Amino acid sequence: MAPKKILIIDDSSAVRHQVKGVLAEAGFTTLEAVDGVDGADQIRACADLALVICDVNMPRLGGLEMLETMRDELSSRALPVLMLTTEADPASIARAKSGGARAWMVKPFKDRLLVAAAMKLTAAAQ
Amino acid sequence: MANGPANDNLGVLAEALEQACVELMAGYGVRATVQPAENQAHPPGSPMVAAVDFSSHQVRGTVTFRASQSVIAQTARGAAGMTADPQGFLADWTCELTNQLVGRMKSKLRAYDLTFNVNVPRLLAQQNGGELEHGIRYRFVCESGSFSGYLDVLIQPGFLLEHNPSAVDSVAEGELVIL
Repeated sequence: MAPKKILIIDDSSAVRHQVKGVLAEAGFTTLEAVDGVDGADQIRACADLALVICDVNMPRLGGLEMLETMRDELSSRALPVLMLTTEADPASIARAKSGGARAWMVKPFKDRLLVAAAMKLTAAAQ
Repeated sequence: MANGPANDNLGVLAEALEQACVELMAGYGVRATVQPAENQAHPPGSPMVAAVDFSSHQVRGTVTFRASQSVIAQTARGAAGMTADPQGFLADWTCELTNQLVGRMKSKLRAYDLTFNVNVPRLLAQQNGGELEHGIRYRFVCESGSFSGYLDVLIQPGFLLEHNPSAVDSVAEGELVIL
């Protein structure tokens, strides 16, 4: 079976490198996007994504705004989204849930927990 | 910084900054100790400096994080999944640390019913030994060097930060919430 593909959306190249390293170790393949605009383009361009991991605070288009823009498309594809962010604001979490996000994790993340979340969310999406 | 809950606006903000700096480093396995007020000067060198602006109806300002390159590299080495040489990520990682610093402050200040919008971090020109002028600042030392957190803030006249223990975040750092 082909490895599951995960899109990492974060304006920090260091964080993308971190997340990619952890997920690669667990057997996932990854794509990267630098902000919400790039992320939306890549979601539309890649039909076989299994999961999107998305930051909140990014230039051009933030993660919550991207979620709201893509809500119907994400829902119709049953594509899960995990928000990975420094934010822990209950209002932002509620907004993400309303936008269709399936999970929320606050940085700095623990590698085992991120892998567990990716396993759970990609399994549920099948 | 006095022990116990701070009882004035600047005291609350200063306490949040100091604690957030220590916890930020601890999150990457770096133990940091705040330096006394008379020992705030940085050693010469080429530090990394990044800032994040924040704003709400009641307060707005800037948090600045300044650290020696060796400190930035040490935190990067402590980050999950960071397999590459941190030297290639220093500027980007400095911005990310500053972002996380503000995130931690925001979480602490929620206990005072204060929330604010946060801009994306920006890298500042490296300061060559000269000290930054800021309203609130703390300098810390750790095994690999020194770093500082700075806060400039404007507070709406009459606004008072009041502790509200029930107004806390539902998610802690590193925690996963399934929605």
